[in-house]
Amino acid sequence: MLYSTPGVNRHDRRLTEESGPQAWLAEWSGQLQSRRRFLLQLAGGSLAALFPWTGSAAPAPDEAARWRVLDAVQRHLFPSEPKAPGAQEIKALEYLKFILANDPDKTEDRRFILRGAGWLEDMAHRLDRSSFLKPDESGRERVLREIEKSEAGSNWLSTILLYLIEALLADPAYGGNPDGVGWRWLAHIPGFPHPPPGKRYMELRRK
Amino acid sequence: MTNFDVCVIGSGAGAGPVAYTLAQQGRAVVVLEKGPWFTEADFYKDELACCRHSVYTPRLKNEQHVIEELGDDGTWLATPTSESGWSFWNGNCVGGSSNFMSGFFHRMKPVDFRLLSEFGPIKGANIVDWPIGYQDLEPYYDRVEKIVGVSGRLEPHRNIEPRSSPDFPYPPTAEHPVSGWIDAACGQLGYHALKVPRAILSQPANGRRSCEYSGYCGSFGCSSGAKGSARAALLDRAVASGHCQVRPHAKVHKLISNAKGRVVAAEYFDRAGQRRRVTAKVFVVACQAIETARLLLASTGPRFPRGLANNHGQVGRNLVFSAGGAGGGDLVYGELSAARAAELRAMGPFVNRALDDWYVIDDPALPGGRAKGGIVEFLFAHPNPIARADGAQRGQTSLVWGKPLKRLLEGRFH
Repeated sequence: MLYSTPGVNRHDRRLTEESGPQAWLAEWSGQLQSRRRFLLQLAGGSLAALFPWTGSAAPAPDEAARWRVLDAVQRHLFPSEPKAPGAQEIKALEYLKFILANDPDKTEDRRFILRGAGWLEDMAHRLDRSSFLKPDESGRERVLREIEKSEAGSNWLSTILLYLIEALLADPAYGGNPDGVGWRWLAHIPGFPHPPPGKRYMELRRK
Repeated sequence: MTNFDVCVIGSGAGAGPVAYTLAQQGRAVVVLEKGPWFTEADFYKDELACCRHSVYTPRLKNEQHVIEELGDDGTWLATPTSESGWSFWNGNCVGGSSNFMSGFFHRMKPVDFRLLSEFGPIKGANIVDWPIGYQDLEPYYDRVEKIVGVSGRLEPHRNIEPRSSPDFPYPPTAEHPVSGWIDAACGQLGYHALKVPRAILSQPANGRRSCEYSGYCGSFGCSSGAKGSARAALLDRAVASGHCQVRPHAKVHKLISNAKGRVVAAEYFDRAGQRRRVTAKVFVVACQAIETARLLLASTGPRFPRGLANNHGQVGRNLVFSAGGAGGGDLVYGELSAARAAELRAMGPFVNRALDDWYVIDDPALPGGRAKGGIVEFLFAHPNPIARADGAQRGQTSLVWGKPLKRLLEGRFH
């Protein structure tokens, strides 16, 4: 029997079927190293260790404020357009909240994402003396490109982007992609049957 | 009941036929499977469940493999998969990874049983001919095609293996329009396009529905029961016979053998972590190449200090891989006529074409002038959309987001 390669992409890894074994190993090795560094940084725990320039330019935002920052980040990273849905239309924040609240394996992601939002606010205050929520588009772009320069900041943005892509293209049962708006935009034909509540991946794990 | 005629450890493609056959003959069979028991009612076309999260496989933090890589400096680097996040599990649930297969049921050909005598020795390898030949296995291939349910049409072909039945038991599954393009191209090139049989029902049978052509088959569990997994095709019927019991969440960690060297019990942990034991007259270990070897090596006993069946130290060695490579190309909609583009957009039917023109390669440039080749299988890229989109956000030097990311996504899908 042959098993077709599903394009198994845990986290943000991707190896194409076209890659030869050497490329496969090399890429895997690289991913291992970057994953290890990332985990080490997480294990360090403190924001200071994660983001060396973190100081106290502004009071730490509460959780509700962090979610507002995340909403603004998502809208900037995936803007709405007349003919193409953005973060708002694909309900990216709703998807992110649903996954982080319902998948017990995502506690680390949740912590990392919310901490990063606080740190982003801090960076915005340093650069612009105002919240990330306030500046214009070019101001937000400048702050995000600034945090991208660190490995941890780049990891944080990659994480947000991956959840955006999932919100766009995962089944609407998870809170994003309402009525298949993301599928329609990209002319993607989904398969049937769709998972009903009670049969989503975190629920199937209890079987 | 805890005492059985036969205890089968594992429930996949190896275990299924054993449990089915013995249950049909009225033997009391118990199947111990470490994973859960999903049914058709649990399988949806959900990329998050099939391919992006551990649902059908253990979480790596609980059950890891350790991969050793040879570094440039000649030393081995060992990394647990719990750390790398790279899963080598294929499907740990009732029916095993056959739940998630694409259902390519190619038979081996007579030449495959005689690799040493046909192609000669390979330096550094301990290759041997099989002690049996194709003709010994042919009746079993025939039975598998009938019981599991293989759909296809047999057509004269230059490499066809001897077959005792005139055709496959079920008519072919529906074919994608692109199959006709492949036939035409192969005809022009002088190749012999092979119509590929599939272990997917093209019509209802044995309580299973026909294929519903969702277009999402390989790596997904089958919602209709058409895919001939060990669960749908064999274990469900074994259980229905009244002679087979399947215990999910039963992780066997040791086979107990006595002073005479007989295996008398299998010890396992149930879902609650309780230690349980079943006794049986015969034990069948069929939990895939690596886990079977692991269990045998872990099952030391008075007569087997190095593990079961390992008196010669061969368990866990001589792993044989079915090697493969892949090449790909793009069919660009903009370069196709409207009619051809419409054909290409069809979603659901199977391509079902392969080439076996190079099953054996005769080439004077090869040592001995001859080598074992294989089959070239034609497939569309997997349709999972998140996998297709993911990566667009990673540019050469920086992350891509905003409108540039959206234009890249449009390019990947249109």
